[in-house]
Amino acid sequence: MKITDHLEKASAFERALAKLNPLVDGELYTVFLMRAGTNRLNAALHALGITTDGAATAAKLGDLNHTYKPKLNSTVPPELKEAFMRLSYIEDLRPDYVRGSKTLNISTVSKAESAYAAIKHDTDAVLKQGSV
Amino acid sequence: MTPAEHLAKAQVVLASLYKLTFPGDYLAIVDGAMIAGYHLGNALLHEHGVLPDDAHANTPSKLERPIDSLPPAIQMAFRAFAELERLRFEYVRSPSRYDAGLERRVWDLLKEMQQVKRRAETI
Repeated sequence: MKITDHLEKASAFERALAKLNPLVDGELYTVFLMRAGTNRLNAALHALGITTDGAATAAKLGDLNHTYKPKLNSTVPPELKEAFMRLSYIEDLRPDYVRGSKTLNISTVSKAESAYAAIKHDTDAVLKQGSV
Repeated sequence: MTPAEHLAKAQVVLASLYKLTFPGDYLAIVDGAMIAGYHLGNALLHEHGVLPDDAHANTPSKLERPIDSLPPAIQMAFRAFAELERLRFEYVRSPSRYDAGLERRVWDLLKEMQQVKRRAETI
């Protein structure tokens, strides 16, 4: 997907997040943080030339659905290493809070929101370098 | 999770979805509908003995068996769930633009899944 499409989708999920209460709507709050973060990460990977915004080729992957899927076929670029870890943290909330019976508490919400803020910061820095 | 726990989660997710509106939140609603579908679908799988309470299918495509091999009473719900999965691929995971028919389609598919659940409860 084109970088602009990824950023539009990330913004759309951010707007939806603003309508939700993470302590009441924790399931969707988690998923939408993950989705916005994944779109931002994909935009940054395309900007760095690590992945392609079109169909995957033998040399380059296309969009990642998650940090682990498909598995990146190159080293995570240093400028996105932290973003990968932060998105992985959000992804790992799903078994308990989205598919499982737990509900988010203030501490977990704070960590998830900080993780997303870090993703946004690091991906914005990459995208600004490429003047996207 | 037990069927009752799944149903409770489904109700929470549906309540969250009702806070969002078409067309602006179309991506989030399509994506969130899959989460409601996950809980409604797995409640049915547990109730009809397809999967034990400690096993789950994330999506219809990961069910490892065709929908028409499921108990007849729940096939319609899983066809609706499969259509929600297709919509997620088309809109959330691909370049997309909102179209006017999407709103009715998503709410109808969720209603179909809930109706199967309610019919199962009366048996």
